[in-house]
Amino acid sequence: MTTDQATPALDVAGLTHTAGSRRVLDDCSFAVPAGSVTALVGRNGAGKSTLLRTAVGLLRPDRGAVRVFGKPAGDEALPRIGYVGQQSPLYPMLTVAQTLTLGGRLNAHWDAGYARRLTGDAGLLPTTRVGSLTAGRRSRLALVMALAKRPDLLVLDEPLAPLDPVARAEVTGALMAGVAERGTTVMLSSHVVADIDGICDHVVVLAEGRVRLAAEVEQALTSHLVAVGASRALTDLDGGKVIEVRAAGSEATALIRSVEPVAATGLAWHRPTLEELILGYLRTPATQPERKVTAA
Amino acid sequence: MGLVVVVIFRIDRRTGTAVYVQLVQQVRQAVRMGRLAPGDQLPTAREVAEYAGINPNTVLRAYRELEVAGLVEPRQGSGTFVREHLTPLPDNVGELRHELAAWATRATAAGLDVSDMQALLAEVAAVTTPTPEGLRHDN
Amino acid sequence: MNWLALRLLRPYLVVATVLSVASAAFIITGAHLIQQQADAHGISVAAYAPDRTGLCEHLVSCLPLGPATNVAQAIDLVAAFLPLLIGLILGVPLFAREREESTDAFALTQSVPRLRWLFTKIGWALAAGAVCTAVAGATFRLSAARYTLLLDDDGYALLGELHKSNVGFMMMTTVFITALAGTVGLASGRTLRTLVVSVAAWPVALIVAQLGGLALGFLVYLLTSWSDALSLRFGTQTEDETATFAALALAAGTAAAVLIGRRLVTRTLR
Repeated sequence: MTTDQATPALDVAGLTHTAGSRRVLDDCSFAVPAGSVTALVGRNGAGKSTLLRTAVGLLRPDRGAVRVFGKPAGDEALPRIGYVGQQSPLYPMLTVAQTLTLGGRLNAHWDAGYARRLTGDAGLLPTTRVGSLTAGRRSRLALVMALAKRPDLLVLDEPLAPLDPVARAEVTGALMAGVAERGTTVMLSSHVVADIDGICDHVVVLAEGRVRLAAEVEQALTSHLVAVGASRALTDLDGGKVIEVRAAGSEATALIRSVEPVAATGLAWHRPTLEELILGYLRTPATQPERKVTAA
Repeated sequence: MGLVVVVIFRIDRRTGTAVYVQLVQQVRQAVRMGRLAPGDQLPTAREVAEYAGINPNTVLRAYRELEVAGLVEPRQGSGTFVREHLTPLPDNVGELRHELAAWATRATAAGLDVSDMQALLAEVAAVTTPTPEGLRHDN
Repeated sequence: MNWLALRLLRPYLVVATVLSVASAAFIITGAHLIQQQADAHGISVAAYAPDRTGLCEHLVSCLPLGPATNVAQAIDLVAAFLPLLIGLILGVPLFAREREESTDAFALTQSVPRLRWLFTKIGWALAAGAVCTAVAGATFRLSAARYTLLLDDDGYALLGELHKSNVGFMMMTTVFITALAGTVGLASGRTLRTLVVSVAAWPVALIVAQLGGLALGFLVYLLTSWSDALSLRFGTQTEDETATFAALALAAGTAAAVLIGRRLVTRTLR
């Protein structure tokens, strides 16, 4: 791929958006390095979809800017982006074959052979009407449409949510093969941490419209520790580094931002799993927003 | 010349062990058990990524780690192969084992049983970040 | 984009075409029936000409009562409401349905500039609406308008103001309603809301068009005051000329609606 590695695939700066009286996005900033697989994690209503819609130019934010490979999000960036929205909208009256033809008409870099192969793999019959497909199958087709566009950046809003376990594995496989073959950058949202473990190498945690954490997964895991021990011992820890403390009786666990165990007695330390790390950040949205921008 | 061996990687996302570590462990195990012979080719990052549904960068990272450990070697344009002449375990393994035996004696004296010792070892090893220097062996 | 725009328009295009052709057929058959009845009663109906009124005194029916009058009234109703109906059929679902089903999120994230999406869709809808209404409108003007003039009821005289027996005006009514409904649909994203707003806007639009047409005519009269011949011509306009100016006012309204749609697509939705 001829992507300049120094230019981030997606550069989000100071993104703020209000819907009605609700602030959906609040000063979000992070960068998605080209060639990375980035997971956007957050609870339902955290603003994930809104953020992705601004990234593909479907929504104009109140403030802030999104740049895709250095260009402002919008018409100019569209040919390089493959997007699948939530509920994977497609035209219900068209057949699978017609939908693929449409993809060819609307996209200059359309790869018809690849599209046919992917639809075959997904067990989609060309003559089936899109409207009569199950949610899972329709989302497979939407994904085929995004992949066959041969984009440099794939933006997927909850791509695995409507899929059964088998389809989930197949889709993940196809996605990852695309990453391996063409160095496609992937930005996908999810609220299921297990779905993204092993897939993503970067993670952005969004809580109540704010970016709580934006980091490389491996780096984030090695710069955090989980401490288990007496609640009293945990409360003595440096408050600035403690992300979250959960007490159960007199015992408690804490997620702490630190490379080395902090000198404190009576505590057992271990490296967090990705799930522990993300949950720790998701459960404490009220604290000061973390603004660590990933190194592009 | 070795065959293209399809190593089936089993990725368990529930263990909490990093995916690349699982890959490294499984290749090591396959070599130790003889499932992978010197000269055999490892599947490409793309194949593993598609089959196991994992990030190809993770696969490449695992292969780099194995290469640094002297277990495999990349061949320009043809893939990653198990080395013909596997680097023997480092010379200081005996020394490490000796130290561990002394420690185990002390632990037993302190009243720890085997599972206590394993838990302790796992806990200490988990927070000790492996550095590339720590894994490199001089040939 | 053309293929998609036409494919999405297809069901509505079919309905509009059927409606247009059926109306034309009804008008022709109806006109034939009225003529037969008139012949039977020995009434001769002159060909349609603008400003030809006063053939009938109030409460004195010039058309034979019964089928002839009823059919003439029905034809008048068709001519008055068909432009609105075709405009609604083509305009209301144009963007409202896409937004309701979120398919705009698909169309707008392919490699096609969003303004091309907007203009292609709206362009085809406007063209289809103009043709459909033109067919029915021309049929009406040529074969039946002369009979509706003979309707003596004040209500039907008012109804005549909705179509002005003028093909251009009827066409522009459809075009304007299509553009208006399209833009409202783009903004609201709800089919029902779009329908209600468009129907409510229709009489207002016709009144504004009437006034706008008069103002436009007066403006032309003032601008041509240097020439006696021209100013005389525009100072005393025929019904057709008034209707044409009203149609021009509707055209201006159409342009405004499309520009608002353009603004919506580039600013709000981007």
